[in-house]
Amino acid sequence: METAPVTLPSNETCLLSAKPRIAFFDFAGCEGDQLQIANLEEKLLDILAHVEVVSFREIKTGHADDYDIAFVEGSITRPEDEARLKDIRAKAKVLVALGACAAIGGINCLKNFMGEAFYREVVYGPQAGWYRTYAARPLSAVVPVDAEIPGCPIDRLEFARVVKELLLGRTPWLPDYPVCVECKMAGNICRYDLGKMCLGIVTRAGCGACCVTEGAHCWGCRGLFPSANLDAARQVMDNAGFDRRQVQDLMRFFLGDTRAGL
Amino acid sequence: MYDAMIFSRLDLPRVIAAWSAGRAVYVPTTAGGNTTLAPFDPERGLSLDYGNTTLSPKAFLFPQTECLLRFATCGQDAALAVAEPQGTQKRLLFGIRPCDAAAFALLDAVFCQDAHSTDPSWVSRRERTILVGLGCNTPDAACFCTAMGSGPHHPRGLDILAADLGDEVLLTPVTDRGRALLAEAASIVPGIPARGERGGTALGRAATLRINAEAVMARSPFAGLTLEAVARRSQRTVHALGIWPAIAETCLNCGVCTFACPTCHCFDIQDETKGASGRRVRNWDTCMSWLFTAHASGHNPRPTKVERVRQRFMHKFKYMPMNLGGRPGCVGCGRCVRQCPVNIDIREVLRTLDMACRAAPPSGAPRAEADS
Repeated sequence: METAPVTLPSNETCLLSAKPRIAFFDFAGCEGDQLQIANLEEKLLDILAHVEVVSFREIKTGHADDYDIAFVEGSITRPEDEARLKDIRAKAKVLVALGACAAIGGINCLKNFMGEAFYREVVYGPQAGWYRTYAARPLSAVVPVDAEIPGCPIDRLEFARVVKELLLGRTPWLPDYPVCVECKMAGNICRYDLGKMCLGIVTRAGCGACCVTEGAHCWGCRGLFPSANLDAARQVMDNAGFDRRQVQDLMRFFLGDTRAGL
Repeated sequence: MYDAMIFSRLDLPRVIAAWSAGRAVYVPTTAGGNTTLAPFDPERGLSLDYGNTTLSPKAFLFPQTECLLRFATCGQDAALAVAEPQGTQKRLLFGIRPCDAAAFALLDAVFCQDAHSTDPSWVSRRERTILVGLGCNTPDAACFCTAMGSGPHHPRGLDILAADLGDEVLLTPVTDRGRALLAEAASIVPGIPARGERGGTALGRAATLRINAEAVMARSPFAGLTLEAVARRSQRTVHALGIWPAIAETCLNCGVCTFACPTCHCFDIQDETKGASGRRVRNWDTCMSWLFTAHASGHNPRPTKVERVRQRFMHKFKYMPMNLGGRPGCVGCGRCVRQCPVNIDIREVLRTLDMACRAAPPSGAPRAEADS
């Protein structure tokens, strides 16, 4: 069988240059998603054959302001974050929200349901007055976002796939169905049949139902799937005997910014 | 019927071991609350005490993901395609239930419609997979096979139908290869041909078990379900009934029904490339997903859940009967009833559909094009 070396599409429809320059940025978050990318190891070397990393503080020194794709991790929690994010947006041709905090607000949004004086005291202690802060929000609340790689942390292989799709000039695809689908594919028993609460019924798939497969339940870190039926989900939780407070606690863990109102 | 064989229940693992020569044999295995067809392990023994497998056995013939062909890329040019050999392994599934075998027979009609539309990977796996079914003695509350033209001891689709008589097992061949398989087992394990008085007793006991199981199902509130009224109405009338929004209201669009279903068979085909080579893969898909019908233009003919839920039931109860000579696209295994997180019961849907079709005004409207 004859084979030929890989050639990236170079026609006009391809948004990016032959070897796009990519940069990583982080706001309020644990940088765990960038760690997942660093952990791609051999695959990362494959990716590096097709892109040039100009900024990635977890794995390299140096920084350049000339980049095509910006991967941005973390949520926006301070007014001054907005200016920095807008600057990144202005420089990047493609902006990708990386991880739950960037894509859906994530865990940082827990504070949105607490009094400001309370969380300031918890987080900063005696220095509570030193920093400016406001309600945590996803990147899309501040700038247009071209693509999202959801999850806490992200799925490494999904990152590789999204990069590949961007390099091919395609719109990255995310599963539009809930975790239940992947749970069935994995042969798991429904958590509700075991008397447990689970957000898989409203959460976007793509994780392979990893938490449920390992014996836990879905926390909703990948955000709601597009046609999530929150009313029916509320009824399922209610029928299973969970009260409003328990439902609310689980919903606010990752989905605080969705205003899902379960 | 006359070449049926009786084996001692204690000898059944030896019969299955005899069939294991040259074949991968799968038997019902329950672990962690899930029943699956798992490779036969003589050490582990064999339990016939199971309702049905949690997921349908369709993945044995129609895998969740399968590679159809491989290709090499030459720049942006066309590629050389190499068909991937499919389903070369000989397999025997022991203990599949008659409803699931009926589903395979139904899917034969879908995947092998005529010379122009025969699916080679389905045919290859189907031909290499022997089905030894076990009749249900105790159908559960979600079962409704009798309403869907099958039955708890129905042989359709099977090679051998087994009946669990307690201390004995009656194996009745259904096809020629089932007959050969039975002879193969009888040459190794002592069995008794079901003839004469002894045979008559065993056949009588099996018939009693079948009648009892059918009687249990006849007492179900859903026993009298019928598709007659749906068949009488035009496709456009059924499509336009007012019942669909209420049926769809609680649906989560999770697709569990379609994944657990033995007759759901929709798939998606994707090309994947890595370096200079690639493969074409076929994956299960679900009509519950928005993306399933999304067009490249951005238009989606089934934009909301209501159209998607309607599609599932229309496909099973209207389009498939229209295309398959009246046979419904459902075998009554009850998996979607058991597993739907919001308890959408396909039997209640069918009853609602039936009543709405009876009440609908006679239709003279022109027939709409099928959109299945």
